[in-house]
Amino acid sequence: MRKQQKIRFLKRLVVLLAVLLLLFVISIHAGYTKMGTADVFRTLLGKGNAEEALILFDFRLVRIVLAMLVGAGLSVSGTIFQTISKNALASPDLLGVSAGAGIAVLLYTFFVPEEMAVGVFALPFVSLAGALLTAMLIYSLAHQKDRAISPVRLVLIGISVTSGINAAEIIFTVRLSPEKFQIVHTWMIGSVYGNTWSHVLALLPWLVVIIPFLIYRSRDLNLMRLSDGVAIGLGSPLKKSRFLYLMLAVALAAACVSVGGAIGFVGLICPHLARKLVGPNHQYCIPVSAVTGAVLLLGADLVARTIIAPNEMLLGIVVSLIGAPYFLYILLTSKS
Amino acid sequence: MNFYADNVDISYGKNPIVEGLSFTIPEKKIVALIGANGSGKSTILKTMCRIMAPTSGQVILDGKSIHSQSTKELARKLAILPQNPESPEGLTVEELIAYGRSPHKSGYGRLNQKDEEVIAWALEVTAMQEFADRPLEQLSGGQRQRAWIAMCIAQDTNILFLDEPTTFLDVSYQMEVMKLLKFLNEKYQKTIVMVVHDLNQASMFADYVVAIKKGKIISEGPPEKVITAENCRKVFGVLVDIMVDRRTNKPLCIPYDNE
Repeated sequence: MRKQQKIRFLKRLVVLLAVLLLLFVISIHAGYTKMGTADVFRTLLGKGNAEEALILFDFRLVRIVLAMLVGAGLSVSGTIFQTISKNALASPDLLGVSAGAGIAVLLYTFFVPEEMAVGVFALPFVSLAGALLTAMLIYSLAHQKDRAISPVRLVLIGISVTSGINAAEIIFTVRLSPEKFQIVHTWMIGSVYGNTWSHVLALLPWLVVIIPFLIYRSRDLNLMRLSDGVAIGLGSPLKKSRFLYLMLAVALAAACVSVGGAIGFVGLICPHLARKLVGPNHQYCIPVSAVTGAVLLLGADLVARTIIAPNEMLLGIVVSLIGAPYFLYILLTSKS
Repeated sequence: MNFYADNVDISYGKNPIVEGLSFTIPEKKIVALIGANGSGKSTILKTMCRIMAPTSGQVILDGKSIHSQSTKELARKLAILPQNPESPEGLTVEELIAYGRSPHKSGYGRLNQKDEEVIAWALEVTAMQEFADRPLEQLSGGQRQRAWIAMCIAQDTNILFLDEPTTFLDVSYQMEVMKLLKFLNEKYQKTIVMVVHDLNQASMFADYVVAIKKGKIISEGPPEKVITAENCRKVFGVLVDIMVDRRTNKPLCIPYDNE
């Protein structure tokens, strides 16, 4: 019965949440300054000294929360991309969203003189604009008159636009000054280091609005995984739906990329893993993919800042180290 | 039910496929569209059920053009089973059938008692109960096709469109699927419109046959009127002997040469 699937979903969700909690506890203890559990609790309750509060709230907690949010957002975005394109290899990075965000940030860094630049606070908006523009470009190129957009066209055009953008990126990167190059480079690989609570506040509304909305519309999303004819037969307004969900997925990814940088693989492997765990129904696979994404990024960030302590590895590199083999696994086991 | 195409033109890009088609779907009948590959029969079916839009003319159901109606509203009137439908990996038979209830739900809308009853009925009618929890990719071709038909009938529509429902199935599964469609038509008075490749299947199971060549209807009517040596030569370019099946009194056609 379908009850079994529901029970399986609840069980696995609880396990994932427990893993997330465990990682959270480890993360909050880990770092250059040693803090015991007692210290952590005392500080969390607002009774720590100023230095402890600074480390806990403004250094550790911020990046923990951001890693979880960015992971969840990228992963759900990937789920939607894979649903729309009916392709397990689609993701925000593949479909040009990350690249579009990246080039926008690069151009901004390249052309806006340093004294005029308002620093990292402008980056989220710049990257959002870049991502949306790229998505619009890809969508309009893939669009055919009087027809629902073809998933294959979408993926192919996404790949070609992405490689075009990547080429342009390289041209600009090599012309940057060394200081600027460092900033852009860190951002392009992806990192949640050095962010503040205002980043959290900038990102949170996107997730809180879009993810629950997508879960609410899971019935509609389920139909999009079927053949076009079947989806139309079941009353899905395919053309409108594809546009709406594509834009939501882009917005979600762009918001995450603007804060965490172009972290690859999360939007590719977590949705896949989520479907393996709870099946293709969106009422199950969206929440599970959100938690899976949070677990992956939080875990990767923990590794990134402890493995070569007191130095730090970039989060994006750790994710790639985990992601690349899994990607190969998907590639080798997928039938189509 | 009043369902017809009125002077419809259909084209793929700039290539006209069908010109000036007018055709009424007889109610509560099994209708078979036959024709050679590329004759436009599949295109006509897709346009009649709104998967494709005509370049001019209208398809009218109950007084309104189907291409300007809400697709969800239409999904409560007609169900579609395209050729080779794909499903995501891991989707079970019962979950697929539950998708059939989508047109009757809004938003997150949980399935109610009635939905559950219809799903159970669809499983029973198609004899798929024992496979309810199986993922679709683990079924045989015939079982999978029955699961898709179960999804369509869970939609609880009076009209059912099927594009080559028996292609790629071996002969025993073909019989299984055709018998199921006949049963749905006889017991629940469903109107069934399908594209069929096998002329003898069309003759044996359809009440009304439509022979199509180059987007035009060459002949339509009961099998004994349409499936004739003359029409087979015209529509398929083959020479056939026509006999009468003693069991059913329907025409049987045996091709022996090209024109």
